[in-house]
Amino acid sequence: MSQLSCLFEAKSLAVVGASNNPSKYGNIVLSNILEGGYKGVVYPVNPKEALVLGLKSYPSLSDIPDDVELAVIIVKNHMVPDVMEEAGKKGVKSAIIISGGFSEAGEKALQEKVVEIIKKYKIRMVGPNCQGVNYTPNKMCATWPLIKQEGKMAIISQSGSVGAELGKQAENEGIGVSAIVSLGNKADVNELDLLEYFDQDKNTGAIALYLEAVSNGKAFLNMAARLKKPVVILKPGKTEAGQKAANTHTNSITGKREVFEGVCRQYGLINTDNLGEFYDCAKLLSMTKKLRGKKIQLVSSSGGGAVLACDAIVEENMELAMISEDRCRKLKAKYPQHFTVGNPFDLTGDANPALYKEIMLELSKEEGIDVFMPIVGDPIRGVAEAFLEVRELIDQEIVVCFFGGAEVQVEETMKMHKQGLPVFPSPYRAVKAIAQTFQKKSSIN
Amino acid sequence: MITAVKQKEMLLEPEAYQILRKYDIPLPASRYVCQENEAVAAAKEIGYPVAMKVVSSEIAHKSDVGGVKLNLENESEVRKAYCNIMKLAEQYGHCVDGVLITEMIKDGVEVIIGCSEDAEFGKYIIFGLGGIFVELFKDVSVRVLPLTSFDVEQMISEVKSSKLLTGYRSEKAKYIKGVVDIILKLSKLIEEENIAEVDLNPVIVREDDVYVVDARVFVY
Repeated sequence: MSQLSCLFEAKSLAVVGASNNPSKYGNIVLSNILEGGYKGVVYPVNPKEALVLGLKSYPSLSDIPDDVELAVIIVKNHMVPDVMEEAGKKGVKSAIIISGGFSEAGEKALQEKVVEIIKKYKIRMVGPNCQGVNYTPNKMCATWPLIKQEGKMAIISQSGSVGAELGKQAENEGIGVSAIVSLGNKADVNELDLLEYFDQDKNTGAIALYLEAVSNGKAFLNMAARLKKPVVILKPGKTEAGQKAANTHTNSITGKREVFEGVCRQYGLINTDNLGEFYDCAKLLSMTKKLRGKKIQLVSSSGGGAVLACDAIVEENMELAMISEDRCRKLKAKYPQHFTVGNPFDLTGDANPALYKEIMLELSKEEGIDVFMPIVGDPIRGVAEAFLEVRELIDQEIVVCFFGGAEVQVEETMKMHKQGLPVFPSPYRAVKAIAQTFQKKSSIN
Repeated sequence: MITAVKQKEMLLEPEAYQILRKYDIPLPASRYVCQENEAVAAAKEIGYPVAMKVVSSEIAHKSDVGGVKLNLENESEVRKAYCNIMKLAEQYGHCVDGVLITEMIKDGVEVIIGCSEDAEFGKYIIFGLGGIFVELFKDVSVRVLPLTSFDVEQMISEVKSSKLLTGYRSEKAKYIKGVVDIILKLSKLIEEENIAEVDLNPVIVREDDVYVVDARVFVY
């Protein structure tokens, strides 16, 4: 929805409640905006300071001489209506209200007052009671922690911590994010607005959604039916204890677990059970194209890794690709006897980048392979370049498993991730992510 | 957030049958009667063996109070069953409206088809194989309304125990198309009528046909 571009693409922003005290969020957020290298103009607002973090501080929004597109608000709850009224008069188009103390704390009337004001001035608002917004293409980290790396994963979260954790993992792994939005109380902008926006956002490839309850079930289903990009969901409250906790956390009335599972199957959403699966699926989908089928070919330097992968493939209802007899004969004649030709294809300790490349290119001529899963079980330097080259030459998708490679593994993984090639640190996680995301695609067709 | 709980009311089984018939959902031949002699005549008309089920707005779980008699082979068994049901109802202090005499449907795979309402996503259909598969293994699948025949086929094949329908070991494949048909008709019924909850349990699926043998329908 282009309506939200006034938020994500804002060319100027004011931090109301900007602070020089490093223990305050008004300091942390402004500092992240500055360190993140925000592309637009920043105006700190704090009547008690002349300078905040070295920038001229304005006593109020109306004292800022130029236009302000976005207001990031971190002030005491009872001050928020006045600040928003001022923002409206100033012509501010969007707001992120980080301040808490609204309906989540029993202050319903206060929240309604704020909503009334933003409706009057047609301001789009995220929050209140949220952890802010990060949109890396605009280098706008109006949240914490500081995450700068651009990637294709957009994270929408009803928990600030979940969004922060997912984003940080993505950055640590060299994958990055396109956006992190903390939903907070969803008094205006909710998951539907954001799903629609990121579905059309050219910087986003896949959407990760942590949600304790949907705002409107029917509208959510209508939206899900229209989405073109993959959506990975973590929706807690699967047990009675979890439902109770969700009710306390976000006032959520959650439905039945089996109903949500049905909804995901019906509408092609990827349902995950925990943070690990949530991250792995979002990561895979933000990096790969649609998988064309479920036949996986393993090419491994590790016998153990290959065995683990075989079990995972069968248990997760994927398939081991079959290599034609002709090709097997040819490859057996070409390579040393201690290689295992087939699936898994075991290169043993002889494995090196050139060998991986050569064999994957040869096998790519086979019709029955949909996905290559090279398993690197040793510190083999240079596999990243080899796999990236192979990727350019073949039609099949590549999902790498790298484990037991210590420091070399870290370096090679980073190289691959920066080029958009997904690497998982265990055969199971690689296969599980493929299987979970593949099911989604197959149900759409 | 507190939503008002809407009052729901269970229809008597003959009423439930009526609404299901309106949507062409297959039911065994049946007669609703209020006297012993009528019961005998109804059984004869339907053809032995028959089943007899108590009809009472005060009894939700008929078999728990001995209100269901199966495989009645002749007139004397019908009379005995009728007296038995009336006596039991009296013992429990339930007011009885009558009994439903139905054709006996035997020798098939039992499945359950239900409809209920979810707090977030509204009306949904639930499917599973009967008995322990639902109760013990929770082997069910769910789809929310509206649904397509593709959704229904998927939800049937999705339950682990669906192999019992497609032909397990020496068993022949069962009439799955008939199950799909019932679910689609039920979803139409739910969208058009003021229905709160439906519990078709069991639905008996045989090689060439399928019947809803027991139906509980709740309306607002």
